[in-house]
Amino acid sequence: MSDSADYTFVCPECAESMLVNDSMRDALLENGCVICSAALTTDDFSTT
Amino acid sequence: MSLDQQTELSPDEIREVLSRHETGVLSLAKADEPYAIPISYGYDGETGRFYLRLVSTPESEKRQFLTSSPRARLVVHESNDGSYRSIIAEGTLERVDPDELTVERIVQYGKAKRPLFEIWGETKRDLDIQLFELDPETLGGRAVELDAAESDQ
Repeated sequence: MSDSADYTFVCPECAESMLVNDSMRDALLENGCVICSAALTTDDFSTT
Repeated sequence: MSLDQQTELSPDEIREVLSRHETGVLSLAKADEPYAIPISYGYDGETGRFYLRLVSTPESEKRQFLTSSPRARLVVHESNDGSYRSIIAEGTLERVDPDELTVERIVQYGKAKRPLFEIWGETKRDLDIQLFELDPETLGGRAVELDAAESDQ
């Protein structure tokens, strides 16, 4: 994880949560939840 | 069938087979007790690493074999156009801590399909989904031409 976490991510399906930065947020939006592969939207990220 | 009808696959051929498939059989062991399960995987042809999501519950048999970093073998095989090909990867299965995620890993797990064989009654929130990587210490593949093998019989 990056040192500069800008968002808190919570998966709507598996409830996994983690702190992510901009580039990880973009990767998750494109590739889905890394834990359960659920499709994600920007609503699943909140600013820290 | 004689052994000389088998040919070793080149690294490029192995990469091609692994890249066009997404399922295989993962074998683990505990003492003298074997455990093999069908799994879905993602494969990075550049680094040679496999990316796996393994689902278990506290009571599941699988959990007993996933403690620490187990030795593992992954077998992928196919049969088409008169040819049979099999790949065997062997190494240590390393668990990936979600806190160690990187953009690269997110992309690789994005390529790994949903665990096709993991059908559970529980919702995802009640399952323990763990991420693993297999960086094979040995990776080999063989091909057998079925027509040639049958002509010997």
